Amino acid sequence: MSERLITAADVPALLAGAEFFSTSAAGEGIDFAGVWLGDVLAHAGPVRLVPPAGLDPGTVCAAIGAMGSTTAMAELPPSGDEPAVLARSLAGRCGGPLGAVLPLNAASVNALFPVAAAALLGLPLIDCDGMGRVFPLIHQTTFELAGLPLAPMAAVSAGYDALLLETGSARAERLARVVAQSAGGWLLCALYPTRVGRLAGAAIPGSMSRVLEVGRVLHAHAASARPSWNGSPGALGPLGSPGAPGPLGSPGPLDSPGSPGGPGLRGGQVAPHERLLAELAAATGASVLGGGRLVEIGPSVRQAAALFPGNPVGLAVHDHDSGRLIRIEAHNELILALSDGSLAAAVPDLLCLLDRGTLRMTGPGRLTAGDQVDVLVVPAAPLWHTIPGLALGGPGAFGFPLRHPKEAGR
Amino acid sequence: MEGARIGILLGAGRAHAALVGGPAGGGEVRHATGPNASERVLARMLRDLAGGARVASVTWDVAAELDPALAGTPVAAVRIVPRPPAAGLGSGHPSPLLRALQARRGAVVGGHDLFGVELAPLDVYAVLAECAAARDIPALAVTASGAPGCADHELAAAELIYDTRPDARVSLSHQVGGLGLLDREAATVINAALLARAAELAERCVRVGELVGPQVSTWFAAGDGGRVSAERLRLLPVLALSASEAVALTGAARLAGAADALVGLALPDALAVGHVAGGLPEVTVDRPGPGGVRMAIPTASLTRLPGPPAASAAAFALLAEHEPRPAVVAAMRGGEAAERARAAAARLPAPEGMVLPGGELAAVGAACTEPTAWLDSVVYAESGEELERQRGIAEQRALTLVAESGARLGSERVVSSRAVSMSFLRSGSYRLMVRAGGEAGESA
Amino acid sequence: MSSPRRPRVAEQLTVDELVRYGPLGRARMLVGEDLTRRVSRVALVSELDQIRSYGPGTVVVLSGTLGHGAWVVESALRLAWERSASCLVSPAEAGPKPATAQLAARMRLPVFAVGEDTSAYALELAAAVASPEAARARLAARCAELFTERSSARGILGVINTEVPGVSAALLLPDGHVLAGQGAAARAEHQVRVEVPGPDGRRWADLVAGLAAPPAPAWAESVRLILRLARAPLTTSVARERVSAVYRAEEARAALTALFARPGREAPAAPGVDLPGWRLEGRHVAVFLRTDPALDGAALSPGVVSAWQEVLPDLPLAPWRDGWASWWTEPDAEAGQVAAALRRHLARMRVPVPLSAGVGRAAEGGDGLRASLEQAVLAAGATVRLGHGEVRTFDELGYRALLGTLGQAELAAAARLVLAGLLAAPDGPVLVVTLAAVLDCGGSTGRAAARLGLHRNTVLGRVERIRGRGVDFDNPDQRLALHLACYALLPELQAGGQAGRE
Repeated sequence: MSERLITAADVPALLAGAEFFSTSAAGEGIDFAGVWLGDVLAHAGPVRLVPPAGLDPGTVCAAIGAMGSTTAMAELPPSGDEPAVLARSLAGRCGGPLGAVLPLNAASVNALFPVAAAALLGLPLIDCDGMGRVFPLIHQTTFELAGLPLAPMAAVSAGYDALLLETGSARAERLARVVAQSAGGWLLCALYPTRVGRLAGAAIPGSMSRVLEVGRVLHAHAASARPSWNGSPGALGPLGSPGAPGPLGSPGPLDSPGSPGGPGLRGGQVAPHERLLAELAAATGASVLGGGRLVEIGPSVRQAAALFPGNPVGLAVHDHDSGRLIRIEAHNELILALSDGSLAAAVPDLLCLLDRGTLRMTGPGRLTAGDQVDVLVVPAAPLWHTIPGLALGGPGAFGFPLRHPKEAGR
Repeated sequence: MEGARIGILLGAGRAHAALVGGPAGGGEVRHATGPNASERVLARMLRDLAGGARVASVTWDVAAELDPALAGTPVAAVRIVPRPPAAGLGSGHPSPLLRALQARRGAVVGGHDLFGVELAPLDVYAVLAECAAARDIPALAVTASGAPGCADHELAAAELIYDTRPDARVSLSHQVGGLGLLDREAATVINAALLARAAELAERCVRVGELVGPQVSTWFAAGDGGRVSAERLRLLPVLALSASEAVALTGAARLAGAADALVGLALPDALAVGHVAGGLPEVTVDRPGPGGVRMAIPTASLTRLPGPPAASAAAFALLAEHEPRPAVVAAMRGGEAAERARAAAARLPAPEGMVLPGGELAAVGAACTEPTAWLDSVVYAESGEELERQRGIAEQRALTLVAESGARLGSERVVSSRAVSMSFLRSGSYRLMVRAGGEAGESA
Repeated sequence: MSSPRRPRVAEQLTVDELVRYGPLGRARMLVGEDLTRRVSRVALVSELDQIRSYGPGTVVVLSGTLGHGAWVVESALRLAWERSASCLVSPAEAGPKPATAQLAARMRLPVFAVGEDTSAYALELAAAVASPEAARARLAARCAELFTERSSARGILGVINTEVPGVSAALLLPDGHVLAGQGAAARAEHQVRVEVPGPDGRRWADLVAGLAAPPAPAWAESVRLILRLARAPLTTSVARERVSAVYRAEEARAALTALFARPGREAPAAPGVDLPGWRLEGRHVAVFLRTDPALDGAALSPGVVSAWQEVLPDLPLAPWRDGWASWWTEPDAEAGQVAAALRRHLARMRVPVPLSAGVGRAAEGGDGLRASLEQAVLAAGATVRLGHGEVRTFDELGYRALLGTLGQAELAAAARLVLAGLLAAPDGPVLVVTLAAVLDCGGSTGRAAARLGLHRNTVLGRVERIRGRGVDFDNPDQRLALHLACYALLPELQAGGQAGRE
């Protein structure tokens, strides 16, 4: 793995990849974070993305991640000095100033905020993370599996509240959750302070690169599926002048057009969504569980053992080709999928929904019964398929008394 | 008494009108086109189009006339947040359009959270300072965090602005858009930039209406496929942006005689696909608007199928195969677009799915618009019953908005109503999205 | 046809049985596919994995502690299906969704939801499954209790058909005629059969239970037990039905007598005719049943009446003159429809003697009823010679056929006596022809004139002379007799020349 730079031009792909790895539920409405990050990178310059091996093992580093509601973040965007507050807070607690940051989890907004933090702090971003996806609790990490302590944890809210927690992992999660609720709905955190040398075997390598790679695939397709006229009715009218867009009519960085004729149909045989699915499978090792009409979506039953915020949602997809019923349980993220009643996929593996109509990743918040979706399963990092990994991030951790498909064979 | 409806699209110096007969007229469609000239010329064209038939309403698609890049005035953006951006970081918008419109950006302390809880008291002195700093800028856009849940700070700021700058044109974000501060601020800025132009347009269009006939009401097509009154256009010109696409979709469905349809609009380089349900286009709030700016305002949801005509036709046929609604293909113009439309229609099971309008699709769609409303809010409900109660309240508010936008009393209906569970907030947090519609009444 | 005896689990209940008389009767059935699955055991499941350890035929009951949600039910459904479970019982609050029900229907696995604590419920199910005999004894006891509440054979058969799962029962006469119950039972390949004695103690009918599959010995025994339990109430009901049929017939005869004793008056005194099913007001179509004149009608009466009651329980039949009378009263009753219905009923009636019937015209009120009944009697006079099951309407037969059947010679003699006054007139034959024409035309002199080819005044003159001779054809009681008399005489009058013309 070699070093590379993340620039403002990478933001659209980063955003699309972040949406993919959010496992459908938490990735909704995170575009604001792209706008914000784009502005930050424009001001502060590009960020160095380096593999752990590319840094001095003694470098002090910490994971950066936001917790709380992305809707709240969109309504109360970061002001830009949060990373500095976090760095100051931690500096005295971990044997020196931060020398690098890494994403707590390279997914949803947390694939973007650490990039912004690295840019604002002028530090390199380490190409690894602790989840490889979104989990509801901040300590559902591979760091935890490797025995890295979560605390001390620094947190800052959009309302200028700052706090430093020194406690156990599970308690830190609970305390911070309560604060987030009262402080505008979200917190930006710096946690798992450690040294780069300890990340080997504790972090999922290459996470950020993977987000960018998947994001490029998605972005190329989404751009080709986007209307070209940008709301300019001249392009619609019989007498419009398509060759002469106004000075501001050219697409901005968030709306750059895809390579014309590249994605989409070749030879008119493969549906666009099938092409995209094939490319995503190639990039992530994902498999397609099925796809078809969403026949049911609505509140589900809270599992007895689950203490997560948010509300459980149940979905049922009628697989078009096989006639099977794919039942999906979501609680913030998509947790598990049953195919005709048998467990086909479950956390910690990622379940993602692709909207066939828009060729974008989608989730319960955007779906209504009748929509056409494809269900993808992306295998989690091998660290998650260990016995402690499944205990921390498997179906049982979400209150589902089911054995993960990997576990069932044991 | 129902008369004929006229839709008229203004753009590129031309005016394209379509008359859609009332029930008495057998629902016939006639087209006319002419220069976008004086009010008298336009009125004469519309009167000739009507040919003596009673005209009930004229609905204008003025989206092209409201191009913010051409018609926008400079705006001072005032953001009210509990923690102003450090050194202006992260508050800039990547859109060149927005950068060009924002003559000044300022931030003052204040704002609420999603549920309407005050996070910081409004710094009134900072607001006054912003007013002073922006004294040469004709329009102001005020955006407070949490305004969809509690608009107190925006209203207080507006009062201070009017006290010091009675001549200023002010847009408040809670009137403009939904959740998401950046998107809503972008919409508010664009809205403020268009206020002057919208006032001119509204006045002109109303005068044309008066010249057409004494009882002709004047409306403006909106980006969600509905219509707004002249009064509302003056206040919220941003609603009329992206109207052409929305009404082109409904116009195509109307010409195909379908209230529900999968519609493919053939363009020279792509087939743009959208859905029409109950005569209204399906909408989304996260589509980029003018200059690629997302605005947290519902606009017609369109997906582009690019590539050669055969490729887009194959993709459209696949979509149609999985779609219970009839598929309709409409050519947006002749030549390449018509060829693309024919290629797509050839692959459909039903040959009647092909629409070749004799004129402007958007004008047909504009004529057929009805009043609509959109609400996007966050509620906290501990029980299912409480959620239903809150949803009922939201639906009632949406219906009231529809009635206020000129719907005939009793014709208001909830088009869609969704309660979406919000991730990572305390359980019981829901986002309510309500869309309502009605039938246009007699007078505007 | 007998198949070689296969080894089978003989004593197991089916899901259907648990629904009919076991605890599943209280549960809400969400998917009712394939209810004939046999039940080997009941398992209360508090962890999904437990289902994997159960064999075929298990009733899988989901514990409330298992957790809720459609995914739980669907997971359990899948595992239960893989293990060939007999059915799945879920707590109602687990809330199986429509898509879940569709999945279960595709798997053809019955699914039930119960609103009570599933642990206690599972115990109760287990008790029923553990001792099918006890469960079946409860079924027999329940049937016995219900038999006592039913007084008719139909009611008793209904109990068997609704309460005993997988069984269709019928009451058959020795010749195979179905008296009550479901005809399918008579055709079933597998049957359980017991004889039912009549009131006289001799074999009167067979009670037959049809089964879709060869029954396990214990189950066949249970069915036989239930059939035996039904025997005594059936015999009693038959006797009761016969006695009451005769009693009702006598009541009806009294009512008819009263009706005909008061010609020209509306409803006779209430107590005598207050029979359910018979009304005097409204539009009537009367029917008259006759049997072979050579037989002793009076002795046959109870049998005919009770056979009638079996097919037409709501309509009285009265012994009347040399046959039996009844009538339909309906706003739009028509003779043709009644005749068709009666034909069907006669075919179904179990009577030891041939029966044929005449049907009168539709007519209003008490007077109309009398006329209709007279017409029916006349028509029946014709059908009696045609054989069993023959039904004719008065109009269908026509006057001539009617008269032919009545014996023209005697009637003509009687007619000459009746119309002696008229015939004594110089133009007597002309007056009789005219009278016949006027009566044919419903009393209209205009139409009669047209028909005779005369001027209306001529006909009016003749009618005056007819009245002058004491013939009052406006009297409805006399009109039919006059009409008949005219027809009886017409052949000889017309044979005597062109008497009708002047």
